[in-house]
Amino acid sequence: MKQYFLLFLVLLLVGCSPSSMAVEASLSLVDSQTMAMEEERDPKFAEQAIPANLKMLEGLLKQDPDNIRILVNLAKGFCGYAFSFLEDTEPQRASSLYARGRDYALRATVIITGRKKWKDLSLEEWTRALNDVEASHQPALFWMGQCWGSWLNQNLDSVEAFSDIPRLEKLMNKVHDLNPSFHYAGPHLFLGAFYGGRSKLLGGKPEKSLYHFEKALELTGNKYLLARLIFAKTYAVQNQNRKLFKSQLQAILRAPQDIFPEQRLANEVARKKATKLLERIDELF
Amino acid sequence: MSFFNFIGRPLVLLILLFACIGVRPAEAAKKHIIKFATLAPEGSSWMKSMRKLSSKIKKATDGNVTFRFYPGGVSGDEKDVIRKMRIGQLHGAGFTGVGLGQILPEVRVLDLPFLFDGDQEVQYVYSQMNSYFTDSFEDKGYVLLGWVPVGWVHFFSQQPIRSIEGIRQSKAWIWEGDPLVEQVYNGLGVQPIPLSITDVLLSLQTGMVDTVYASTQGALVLQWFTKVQYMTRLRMSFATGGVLISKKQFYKLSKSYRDIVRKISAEYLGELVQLIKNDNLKAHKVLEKNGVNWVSLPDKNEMSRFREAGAVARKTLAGKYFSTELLGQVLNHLKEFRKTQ
Repeated sequence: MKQYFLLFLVLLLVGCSPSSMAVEASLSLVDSQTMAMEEERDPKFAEQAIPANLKMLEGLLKQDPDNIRILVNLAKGFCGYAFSFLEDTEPQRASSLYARGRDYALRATVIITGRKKWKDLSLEEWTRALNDVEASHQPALFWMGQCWGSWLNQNLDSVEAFSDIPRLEKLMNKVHDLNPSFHYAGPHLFLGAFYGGRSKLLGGKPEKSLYHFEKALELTGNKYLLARLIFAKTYAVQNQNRKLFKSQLQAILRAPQDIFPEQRLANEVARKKATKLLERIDELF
Repeated sequence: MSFFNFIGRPLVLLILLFACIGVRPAEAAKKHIIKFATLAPEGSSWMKSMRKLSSKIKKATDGNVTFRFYPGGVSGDEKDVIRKMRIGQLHGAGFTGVGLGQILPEVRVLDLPFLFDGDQEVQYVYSQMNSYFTDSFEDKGYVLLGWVPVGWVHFFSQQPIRSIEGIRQSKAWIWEGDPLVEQVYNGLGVQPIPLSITDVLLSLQTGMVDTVYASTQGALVLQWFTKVQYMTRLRMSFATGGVLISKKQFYKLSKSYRDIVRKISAEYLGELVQLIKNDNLKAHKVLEKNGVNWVSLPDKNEMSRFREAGAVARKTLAGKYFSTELLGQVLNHLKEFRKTQ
């Protein structure tokens, strides 16, 4: 209902003022709506509601195609939805939504940095381009890397995807340097998984991974349960540390429901995934 | 009719029935889990093929033969995997030639540098030698479910390699404990730097080495392509690989299940071979796109010097890793094939 009201409001505003002004006016509502969604306690409810919200945001984008806030929100939304509700059951759909999220974030990156050819840069040029980015570019860069990394994990049978890994590594290290606490220590969490989910042969760095996971847990005061989930799923499995795997997942299941009200949905998703992962313990170790 | 007769007759019938069909009911109910390790990560072509293979086998054996996978090197490197297979902690794995060679050293005859010239030669020699190696692996306690070669091995370097002199002047890496390349490098007068495969990337970065060898897909997956500018059309060897399962585990399966596993493995590993071949070709393009340039083949004279070094290395290695007779067989098959061309 809220969405229809919002849409109505937007259309009303579009009717009497330039479209980008109308969009701008509705963005604070979008932000509140995102907050409300992140606080949602019922994952099934969120699963059903999020697609409509994302379509509405895509509609707003049509009115204002260069709006960074919308682009970044879309990247975050598609990526979060694919991770929370599709990755384990419909990997192909998840992959395509990750790519969609990455492309929105890339669009935002191109606009804010004023550099058009991000996609076609050689590794050397890519590294140089990252030297010029600023703290205000972080949301777009972070979600580009986050969606891209998740897409890559779903496409490890693609030769092309492998050539992206060094770019992704440079990007997320830069994002980490800009502000490691961004989005619940997201850069630490990403790098923990990036270095922890692969063997040393394929570029894994267990010591670095452990450092990043420990920082992610510390910075979020152990309240953001996705950090524990990813820690168990990547580092613990790759290093065949059954004890760590079990303890992290059990800590998720033991955590009080209101441990982190502003991220209740993410924590509920972590709880669901932790239950399923624990069931697979004998298969993974 | 007495009570005994009443329940006795069906029981006797049941016993008779079981006697007639042997031990099948008990056997069919027995579940077998094949614990399988590979260095390839979940989601890779390797694992996708293995998952298809496993679900097909599960279906064909009514759920009695299933696989449990340990992908992405979680079971350690090939040496660790072999050790775990020997103690029964793992039952099957995908190996490169190095791992296969630790079980059956003579299989490295297929990895000899400058032996093969093209895909068809490789295919012919593999087909001729298949039953020999299948039997040899069985003698060592392993069942060869299929060959899954790594593919053609090229030189990747920071300076273009056009000649033997070019390699001599480079800081050439050698996979530590790789006797084959060691012999060839000896013959070429190259003094290589031995390092484990996990140290190569960093060593390319620090300049400790500047010339390495790998398949095109390998150079991409291992990220070595980010530190080199050139790859040679010259191919050093055709790197072998394959899937083994421990004989002890395999022969726990009934004859019909063994046949099913062999048949389905042949089909899906065959598909995987093709996928890897295609991936190596795709990797050519991706490497080019990422700024790695081809170095054309050396001229005829230089090519024959490379081949000569390969021939000398072969002779030196014969009697150590494989018998002179085995080498002779392989060379004869090659000769036969080349005659038909």
